[in-house]
Amino acid sequence: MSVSILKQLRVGLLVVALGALSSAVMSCAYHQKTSLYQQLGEKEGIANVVDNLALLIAKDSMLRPRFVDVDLFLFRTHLIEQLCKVSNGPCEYTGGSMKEVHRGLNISDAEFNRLVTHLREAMTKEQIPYVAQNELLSKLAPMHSDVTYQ
Amino acid sequence: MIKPKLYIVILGLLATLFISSAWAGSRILATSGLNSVEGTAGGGITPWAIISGYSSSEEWSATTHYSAVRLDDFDLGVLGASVSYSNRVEVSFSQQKLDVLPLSTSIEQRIYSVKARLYGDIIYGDWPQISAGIIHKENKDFEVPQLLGARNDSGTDYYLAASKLFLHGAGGYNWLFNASARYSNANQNGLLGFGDVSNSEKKWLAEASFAVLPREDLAIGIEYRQQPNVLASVDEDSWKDFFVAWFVNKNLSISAAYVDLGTIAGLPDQTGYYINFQGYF
Repeated sequence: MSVSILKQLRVGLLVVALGALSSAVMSCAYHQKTSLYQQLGEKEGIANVVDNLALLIAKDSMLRPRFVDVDLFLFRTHLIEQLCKVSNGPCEYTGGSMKEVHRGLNISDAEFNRLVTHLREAMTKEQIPYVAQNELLSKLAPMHSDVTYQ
Repeated sequence: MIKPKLYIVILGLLATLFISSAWAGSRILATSGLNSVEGTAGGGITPWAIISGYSSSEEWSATTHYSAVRLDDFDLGVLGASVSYSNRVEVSFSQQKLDVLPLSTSIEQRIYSVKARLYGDIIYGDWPQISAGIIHKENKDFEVPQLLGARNDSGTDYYLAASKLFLHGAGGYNWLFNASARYSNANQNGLLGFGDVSNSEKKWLAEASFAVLPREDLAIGIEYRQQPNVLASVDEDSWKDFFVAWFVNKNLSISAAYVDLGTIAGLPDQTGYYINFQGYF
């Protein structure tokens, strides 16, 4: 009998602990007032992220060949504009649609996943908070179907 | 039997620490999950829709793992390995050894499983990733299960699983949800045999889990797994756990859990802890 009460107490404590964790998580979100664009460090921060990303791509033997014929200056400009735009910054994106610019390239899931991994690392290097990284990735993830296997 | 193999696994895991650039596949950190006590990719006690390891399109991946569960009256040791291709299909083999402490005896079981991803991707797209799997088990020490009235010393489970990772969910964190339906007559995962002498029909069982990732390399969550409870001689309760998994890098994960497996073979309140060490290649 006392064993089962003890067990119920343990389960109860677990539920309380989970509740406390989730409410702490919620209140953290509630007090977060700066916009994603600001958390990315605005234009300068985004440009640094894109430059970090370019270095990581250059070191990746699977992705590097994809950029051999790419105008890197234009790629950098367009990617900065795009990240600025999706984070609700004051920018216009002047590049083509994701479907258009990846047409015929047959980008694979592996290549897409590697780019996401490098983008995460590029943001970490720029000391962008984890939650802001998640938010930017959540805005880019829906592009997967327009980028891969086109 | 298990000891020498254990050393091999530990050596393998240590080796991965020194070869940090070892090939593991292109998928995102932590989307490998673990390989469960049944060998399939998932959490600690439930299979998820994820495919084992980090294999993405046209890539191979392999895993090895050692899990241990320490309960009041039982110790379970599991050694397993899996291979996956193209984030599409996974094959695993594992060996379980259950020490029944009050009887000073042990029960060994071999488990073969295969899983295929049928639809979707755990991260990308609006719908969950869906997979189907088969788990075949052979109980090698059937004396105790037979005494308890189990009908068969081998059995096959079928399951359908759905998994979805929500990026930037509540609190800005990534949240993982899994649900599966399993068709099984395995008593205590097959360690107490399959079915009852008077009834060997399989039942549909529900399993669910969710986790939050407070960091990209850390998952904290809970799991629930229903059991068929078909043995007439002893009750069987649902399994539950509360886990923390640390994905050290793409080659190594270390996990721990508090587990509550309820009554096992007439011995009530079997709670304790679970640990898992896993290498990815």
